[in-house]
Amino acid sequence: MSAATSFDAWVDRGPFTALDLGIFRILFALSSLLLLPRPEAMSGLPDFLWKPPPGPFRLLDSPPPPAVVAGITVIQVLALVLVLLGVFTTVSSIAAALLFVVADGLGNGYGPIYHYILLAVVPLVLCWAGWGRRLSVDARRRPDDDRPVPQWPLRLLALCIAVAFATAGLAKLRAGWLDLDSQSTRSHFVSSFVVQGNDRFLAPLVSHLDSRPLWELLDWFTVALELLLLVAVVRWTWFVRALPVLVAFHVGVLLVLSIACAANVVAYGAFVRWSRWWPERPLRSPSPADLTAVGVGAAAIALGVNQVHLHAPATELYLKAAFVLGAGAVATVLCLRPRPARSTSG
Amino acid sequence: MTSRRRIALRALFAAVLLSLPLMIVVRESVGEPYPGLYQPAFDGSTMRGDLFGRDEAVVMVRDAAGERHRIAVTDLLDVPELERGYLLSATRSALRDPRRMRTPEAVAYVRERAAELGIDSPVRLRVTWYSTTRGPRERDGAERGVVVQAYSVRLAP
Repeated sequence: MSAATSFDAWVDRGPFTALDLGIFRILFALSSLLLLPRPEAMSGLPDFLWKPPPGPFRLLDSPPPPAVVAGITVIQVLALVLVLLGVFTTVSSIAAALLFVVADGLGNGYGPIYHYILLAVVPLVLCWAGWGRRLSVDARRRPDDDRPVPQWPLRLLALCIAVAFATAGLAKLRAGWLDLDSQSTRSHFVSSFVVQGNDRFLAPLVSHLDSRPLWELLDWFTVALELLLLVAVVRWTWFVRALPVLVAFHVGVLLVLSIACAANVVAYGAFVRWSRWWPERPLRSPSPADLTAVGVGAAAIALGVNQVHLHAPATELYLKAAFVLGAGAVATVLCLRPRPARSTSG
Repeated sequence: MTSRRRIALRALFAAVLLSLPLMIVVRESVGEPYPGLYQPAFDGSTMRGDLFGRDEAVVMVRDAAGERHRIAVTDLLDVPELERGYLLSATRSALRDPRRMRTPEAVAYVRERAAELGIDSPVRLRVTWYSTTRGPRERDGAERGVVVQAYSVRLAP
C-alpha cells in the first residue's frame, strides 16, 4: 500500500456517527451563544489604545462605531441560532465561523489576544462532516439521508487543535521553559497572583509552594503535553485518551492562574461519542412554532448573558470556569465508566 | 470519493501541517497575527532565584504650579467592564511606546483623566520604567533597580 493510499485510509477511519455530531452541534451552538465575544465591552477604552495584531484588522485605523459592533453581535447570534436548529447548517456554520472571527478580531483590537479561535474552527470544519444531518430542521427536510459520515473533518479538526498547541509548545521551548534554572510556570503564577492580584480558587494555597523541582516539573509537563498532541493525532485511541489529560490541564490552569480556556474544552466535545449517552429515540416532530420559540429563547438568553457579563468581568470568568469544570466532570465520567468494546481504532 | 477530492484532501492536510513552521516564523518576526491557529505562547521565566523580576512604570504628572502627582498605572484606565489583567496589559503596552503616548488622542485622554483624578492644569507627563524585583508573595514594596526607559510628554495645550 502506498503512502498516499495509507493516508487516505487513515483519513477515512473513525467512529463518529451523524447522531454524535448532531448532539455536539447543539451543545456547541448553545456554548458558543454563552461565550460570545464581546467587543462592545471595549468601547470604554480610548481610541489611542487601538492597535490590532498583524493581520486584516490592521486595516482599521480605529475601532468601528458601537452600532456596527452591536449589529455584528446580533447577526452572529442569529447565525448560531440557525446552527443550533440545524437550518441550512453548512451555510449557517460557515457564517457563524466568519462572524466569530470578525467579532473576536474586534475584541482583540487593543492588543491582547484571547485565543478563542477554536470556536471558529469547529463549525468551519465540522459542517463538512454533516453535523446537521440529525436533530435538525435539515433532517426533517431530508429524512432518508443515510450517507456514511465522512470522518476526515474530525481528523482535520484534531490536527488543527494539535497544530495550535504545537505553536505554543515550540514557543515555550524557544523561551527556555525546559531550562532547569528557571521556573516559567512559577513566574507566570507570581505575575498573576502578586501583580494582577488574582487570588481566586487555589491561588492563595499555591502561593506557598516553594519547591523548585515541582514548578520545573510543571514546565516540562506543559511543554510535553502541548507538543505530544501532534503524535496523538496519529491514532484515534491516543487522541481521545489525550483529551481528558488536556481537560485536567485546563482545570489546573483555571484553579491556579484563573485562566479559563472555555473555548478549548467546548471544541474537545467534538470527539465524545455523545450517542452512547443519548441514544436516538423517535422524537415528536417539532412544529415551526416550537422551533421559533427555541430560537428566540436561545437568542434572548445569549444576549441577556452577554449584557450581564459586559458589566461584570468576574461573572465572565465564573461562566467560563463553569465550562472548564463541567468539561472536567464529563472527562472524569468518561474515564471512570466501564470501557465498551473497542471502537476508536486507528 | 473521487480522485480529485482525494488529492484536494491530501493537500488540505499537508497545508495545515506545513502551516506550523510558517506560523512560528510569522510570530517570531512580526508578532502573533490574528486570525491564526495559535494557542498562548507565554514568555520564559523572569524569576531570578526566588525573586520575581519585572519592569514597572512610574507615571508622574506635573501641574501648572510645578507640583508633581503620581498616578498608579492601574488608575490610568477606568473601564469597570474589563478585567484588571486586561487593562493592565493594554496600559503597559501603551506606556512602553512614547510615540503612541504623544499622539493628540493620548494627550487629550491623559489630561482628562488627570482632571478626573483631581489634578488641575496638568502640563507634563513623565513616564519612567524601572527594572524591579520582589519576593513571590510580596504584593507591595518591589525593589527598584535601574531605569530602563524614560520619556516626557507635554500636556499643556
